[in-house]
Amino acid sequence: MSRKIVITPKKNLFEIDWKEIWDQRDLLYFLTWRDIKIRYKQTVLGVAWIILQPLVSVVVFTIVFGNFAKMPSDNIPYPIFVFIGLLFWNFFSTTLSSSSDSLISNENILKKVYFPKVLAPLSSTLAHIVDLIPMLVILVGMLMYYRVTVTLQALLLLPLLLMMMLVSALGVGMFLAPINAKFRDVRYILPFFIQLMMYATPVIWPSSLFGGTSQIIRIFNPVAEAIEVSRSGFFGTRPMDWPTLILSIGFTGLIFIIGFVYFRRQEDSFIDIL
Amino acid sequence: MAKAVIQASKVGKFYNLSHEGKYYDLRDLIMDSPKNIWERIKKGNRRQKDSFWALKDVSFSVRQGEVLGVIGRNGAGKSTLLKILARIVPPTTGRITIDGRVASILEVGTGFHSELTGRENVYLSGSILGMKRSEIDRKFKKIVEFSEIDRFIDMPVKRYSSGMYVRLAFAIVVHLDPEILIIDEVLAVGDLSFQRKSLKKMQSIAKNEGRTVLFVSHNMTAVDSLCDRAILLEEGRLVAEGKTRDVIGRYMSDYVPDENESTVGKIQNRIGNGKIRIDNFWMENALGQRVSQIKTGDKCRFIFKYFAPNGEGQKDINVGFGVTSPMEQSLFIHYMDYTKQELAKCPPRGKFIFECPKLPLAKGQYKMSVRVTVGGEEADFIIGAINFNVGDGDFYHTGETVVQRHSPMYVDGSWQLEK
Repeated sequence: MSRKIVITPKKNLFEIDWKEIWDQRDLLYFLTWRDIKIRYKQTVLGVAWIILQPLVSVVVFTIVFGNFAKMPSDNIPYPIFVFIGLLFWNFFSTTLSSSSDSLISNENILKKVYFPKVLAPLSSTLAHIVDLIPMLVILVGMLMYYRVTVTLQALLLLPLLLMMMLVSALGVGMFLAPINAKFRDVRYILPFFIQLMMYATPVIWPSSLFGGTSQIIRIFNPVAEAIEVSRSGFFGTRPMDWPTLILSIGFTGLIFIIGFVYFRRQEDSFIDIL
Repeated sequence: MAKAVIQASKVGKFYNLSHEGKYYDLRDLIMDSPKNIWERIKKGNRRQKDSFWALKDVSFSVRQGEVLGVIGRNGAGKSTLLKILARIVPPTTGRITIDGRVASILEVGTGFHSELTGRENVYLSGSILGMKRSEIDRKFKKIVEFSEIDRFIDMPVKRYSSGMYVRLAFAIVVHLDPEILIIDEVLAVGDLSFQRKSLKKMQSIAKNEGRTVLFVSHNMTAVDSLCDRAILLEEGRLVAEGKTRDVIGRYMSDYVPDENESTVGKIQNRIGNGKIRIDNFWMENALGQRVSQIKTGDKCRFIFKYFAPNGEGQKDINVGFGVTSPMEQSLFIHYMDYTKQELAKCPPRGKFIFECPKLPLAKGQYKMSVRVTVGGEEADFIIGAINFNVGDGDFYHTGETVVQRHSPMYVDGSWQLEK
């Protein structure tokens, strides 16, 4: 079975060869698998580190913000309150930094062989799903420790919210990846901005701190919305705010589309730069 | 006659150096722009210098089952053509139709990761090169057999010797099953016996299995034995096409006569980090014609052809050369910075040209050394390995040739008497 390939200078941005991407699913699998394997091989502590890192953060944040600063937490015990924040935040931020770095980290392959370039950010993103496993185990442990009665709705929403993180991180990542390839100092600036963004997101503070304005924050910051929905979902602190969630999902979709279109626009030019 | 599976028409690739070759820092963009604007005002639009056509109007077609050789010197555009055919970079102009499953091998060990084991790398590299997982499962045993490293297959490749690494990588390549295979100079790796084995395997792939193959190489023997037909590229243009023998003949006759031509690129006696390499040298007379000898006192140009092996433009270049007598007595040296002509940047390939208004050397044979620095660091230094000839000429424009026997140098000047 042969396929005809036509190579021309210009291409249609919206004409996406889905079949080609689908045909390359084995490659996507191996790229993702490579990223996971390398990440866990290269850290000395491996899986232990993935568990230890958020736990240490929880302890530090609980002591600093929970005990000393007396940060309000909507009457949720501060350790689990901050852990839910970190669960989403870390997933989002690590996924974002990997996907925005993906063109550079796959540079030597992209320069030598053709494949749909979108597989680079996609595989980098998917590789982070594995990191969620230990985090979710800890979450279950904490929910049991605090004797939280988990509602079915909160449980069903969790995968959706994590999906939102993935899609929005991939969207922003696809937008940043070509910029990152072109301006190599972006990769040094980015971690700093990601760090700053954490404080602009209700990770260590409750979104109720901002009262009415929090709704706007939550629409335009999918991470804020995900954290809020799952905190109030698990602890029933506030009734479910469906319109905000739907708007936030819509905004996530928009981020993804913008990122994807920008990536497609740039994908031919950055090979000359790499 | 078999149908054409690759059809390229008027393919061109334009590189604009301000966007190509070198990545920037955001900081550069912010800090440099006022300076750049000023330079632009000062020197006029320098677009002409910063951009070039790596390929221009290249048209050809390849029929099913044919093995086409692509030959040409360094910088002739072979790699660019291959990258376009492999869909790694898009062309600027033209159109190519490819009918069939393509595998392109532009390097040995594409996608290999040093932390992973041989087995893992076979799967990773195989899938990057276009194999399905089931296909790799099926061929895995054969790949390992061909590579001769079965005992080490579960060891991370970072512990492999370079020979083992290459063998494994090549084993994957020869087990790909494409209808069209595009191969860049990859046979020139590994030890000699493995090279022979690979070449034989390539031959059987090409001849017996009826694949369409595009093969780029400097190894004329390999091209000759593998290819039915060949095309010759020169400065981005297709200058010859036809039977392999004829095209190779044309390539040889065009380029080999000048002794330095074929040797400069191969000179081993060189030092430097290799960011830029001089691969050719010749002289031109006042009319811009290539000559094997310059006459004393004539206007002439020394052409140093270079390329950047990593294919990227370079920054901060200073080029110089020195001329010595055959006895290695230094006669003169000239660097770009003597005349404040260092280059802020240069494209990945091109020519450094030194123009001498009046050659001050007497008849005889001379030796030359060339040195290129990039960013202040030695990139290429060829010591005394280039030879050239100077013939008798009329240095003083008196209509007569003054033959001096005791000095290799002439100097301009005039005499007068004062009381």
